[in-house]
Amino acid sequence: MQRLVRYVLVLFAGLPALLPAQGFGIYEQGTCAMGRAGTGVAAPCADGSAIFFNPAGLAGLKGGRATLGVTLLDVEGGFTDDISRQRSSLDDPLLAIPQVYAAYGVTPKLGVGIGLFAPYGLQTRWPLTFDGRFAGYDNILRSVYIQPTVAYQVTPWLSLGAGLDIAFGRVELNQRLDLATAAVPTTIVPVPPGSPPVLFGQFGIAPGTDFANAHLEATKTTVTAHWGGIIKVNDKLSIGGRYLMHAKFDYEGRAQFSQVPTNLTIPAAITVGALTIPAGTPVDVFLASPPLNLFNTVLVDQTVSTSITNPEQVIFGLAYKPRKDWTLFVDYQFTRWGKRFNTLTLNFANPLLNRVLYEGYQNTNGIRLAGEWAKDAKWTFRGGYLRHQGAAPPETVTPLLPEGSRNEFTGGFTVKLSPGFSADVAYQYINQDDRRGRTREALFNQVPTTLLNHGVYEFHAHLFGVSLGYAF
Amino acid sequence: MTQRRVVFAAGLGWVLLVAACQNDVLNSPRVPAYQGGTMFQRYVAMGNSITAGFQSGGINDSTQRQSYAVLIGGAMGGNRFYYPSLNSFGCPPPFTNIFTGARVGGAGITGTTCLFRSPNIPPYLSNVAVPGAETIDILNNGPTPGTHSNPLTQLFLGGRTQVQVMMAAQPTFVSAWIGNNDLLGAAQAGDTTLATDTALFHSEYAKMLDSINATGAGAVLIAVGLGHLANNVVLPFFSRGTTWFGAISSGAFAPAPITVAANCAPPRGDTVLVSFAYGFGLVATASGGTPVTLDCTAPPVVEPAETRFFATLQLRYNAIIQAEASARGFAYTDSVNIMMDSLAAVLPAGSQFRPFPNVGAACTTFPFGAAFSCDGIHPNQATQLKIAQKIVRAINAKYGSAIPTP
Repeated sequence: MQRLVRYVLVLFAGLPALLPAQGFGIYEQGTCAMGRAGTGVAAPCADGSAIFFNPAGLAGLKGGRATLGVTLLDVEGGFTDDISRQRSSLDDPLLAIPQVYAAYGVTPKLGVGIGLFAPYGLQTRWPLTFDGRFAGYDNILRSVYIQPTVAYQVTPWLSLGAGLDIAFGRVELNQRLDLATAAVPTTIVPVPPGSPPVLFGQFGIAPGTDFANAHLEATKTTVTAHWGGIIKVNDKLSIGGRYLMHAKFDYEGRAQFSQVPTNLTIPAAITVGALTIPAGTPVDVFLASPPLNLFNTVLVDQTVSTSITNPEQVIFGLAYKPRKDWTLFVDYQFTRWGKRFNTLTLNFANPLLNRVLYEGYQNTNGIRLAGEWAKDAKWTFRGGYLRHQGAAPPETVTPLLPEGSRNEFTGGFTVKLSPGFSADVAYQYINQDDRRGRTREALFNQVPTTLLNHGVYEFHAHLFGVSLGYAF
Repeated sequence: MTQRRVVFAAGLGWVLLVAACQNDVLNSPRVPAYQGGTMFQRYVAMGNSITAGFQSGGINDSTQRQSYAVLIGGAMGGNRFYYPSLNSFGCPPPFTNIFTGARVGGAGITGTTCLFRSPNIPPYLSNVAVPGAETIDILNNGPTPGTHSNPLTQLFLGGRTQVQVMMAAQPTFVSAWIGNNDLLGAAQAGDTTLATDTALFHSEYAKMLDSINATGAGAVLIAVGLGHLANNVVLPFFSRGTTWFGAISSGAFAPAPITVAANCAPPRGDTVLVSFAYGFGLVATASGGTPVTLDCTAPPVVEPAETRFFATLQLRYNAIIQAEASARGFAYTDSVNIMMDSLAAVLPAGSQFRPFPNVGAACTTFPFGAAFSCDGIHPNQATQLKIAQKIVRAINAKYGSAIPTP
């Protein structure tokens, strides 16, 4: 069992490029629910995914359920620059998100289960020719939750459920450093107190001159909780709600730097402060040698820390059966980004490298609509639509997460393969509204504005889900 | 009935979905609205000190903004025209009085003072010209032998060449005015061997044009010179030997112990050119108490044969440029030289091109004439404007465009 858990964690550790929900939230946690556009807080799918979609849904479970599935993501998107009209495409490969749930009805009223899901995460990979490489060209945020869950049917019309989430977080940022915007040490060019340092760009270095690669990686495990309740108003109508608490990750990790050749040469002797650089000096040698000696002084391997909070989610929904074979769903989702993702501070062992990224995320609202038709005992078909807002405000649409409001369309079906086994298949199309954004962070940790925006991000994705369930 | 409901529901759903999409759009680059404006959406200027905006022996943001290239870029009205803005006071700061050596910024500022660029670093450069550049420097930087890189090469181009920076800007139109220094440096030294020979000039110039062709941009090629040497139009940086003979003989620099040789007297003195640097270098030495003599056979003095050589060389350079422009379908203009010829002839004589500088005068009074800044070589603000107007007219004539006159 321990080996299985470890294997599953390894699978999730590879969980990549996720952009299907508000901010860096992820909602595709089960193939059945995916076909329903993520609805079901009032009546979760019977595949054990209630552990995520509403812990109370485990109450009243007869026997056991185990589900193993995968969602494939084909993400396409890019950035087009206003002036040059050049488009840089996202470089994400076809990605696979595994899903594992196990649930068991201990008594007709008591259900238990355990699930692994990743309610938050992202990966954005850009080509190294993209100007956004200086903000981050391969950015990964992973939050894998293991949630032991218990649910109880308090009365015939009320079920409650709760889970304790052990959340494993990992953050990785890969970026290039632009020599044009790098500061010349004040030991070489002194500046008056309170003045910003002189930049290498002021010595002619063109914007977009890579001189170093930075790799930041940090992990953290934390604990949070998840509650849910379902009210069965009558045989036709159910009302449900759930609350996933926020989870704060105080990440600690390492930052590694390596030199990237500029292949530039100083064309004529030039005086920089008290220093005269001879003609013919390779810029790369100048950077790596005393007195700068950047890669042995400032840009050395060192500790880095940051704090990221996954926000709380509050979802309410209805499930209504107009006919015995039809169920209609509507869910509303609120995600509290506004309080949880305002600034992102990167603290290095060398405080000269400290950075503050102003994210200023806004609370988001989403609405999900779906219908499900149980054709017969073997086949069930479903489809849905959802629309949600983007969490990023107009001034922080960046290569790290160029997200925006989305329209999503889903469809899927369940087929019973045998009395014990069933299979789910689902498809989801995500179309994000084109969003104006920028490729660079503001200099000197300044608060960004929309004046920095210089192009449009566009994004869409095709998701294919397949899962195999076993009832025992 | 059911079918109508389905159609109605589908239509309503479509309307709702369309309404739910709120796509942001690209901010389209401003397309100049005049006839043929598309070609001038992104203009890049290549060249040397005149194009860069060098005046009065120095360059700073104020003089950079007065460059004809900046004026043309503004008139074209396309994407923003970015130049490598220098921090005040400049690199080096321009003279306020060339005779005292005073420069913008006052005490402590010298010809070696060099302040770096403004912290507002543009995304690309539109004015890639570098003072001191010769034709070879368009595609080559120091320390490659034969190149003429200087600190401004680094500050403006950051280790890249003019061609590389031009191509990075993805121009739709390019102007190139290069070659003046290929003969000016030799003229200042009075040494014809220092001039770029026509074969090398042609080779380097053609390579530059190949690079422009590779971008698909249109171009205007500007003839070498600030007046036709063949028409005896000479920069006020140079004065006739006769003029020097008269000035020294009349005690203009007394009590400094400076004398003048008889070979500067007319008629020979009318045929030789003494550069400001050489002549006033001697005056400065004499002012220090060391007796000196201006000899009009000294190497820095431009002899008649050398003058003829430079005049012929200018014509040959310009013939090469004109032929290349014709072959590549680019605009070519000699109108700046023609305009300067006309300015040299403006009455009262010498008002635009002074035959001898107004010694001791501050730069605000244009000691080299009303057409020139305070170094006798570089056009002043008013002349830069006239140059811009001439070039715009030449572009409009070639391309049938209607760029407004600056």
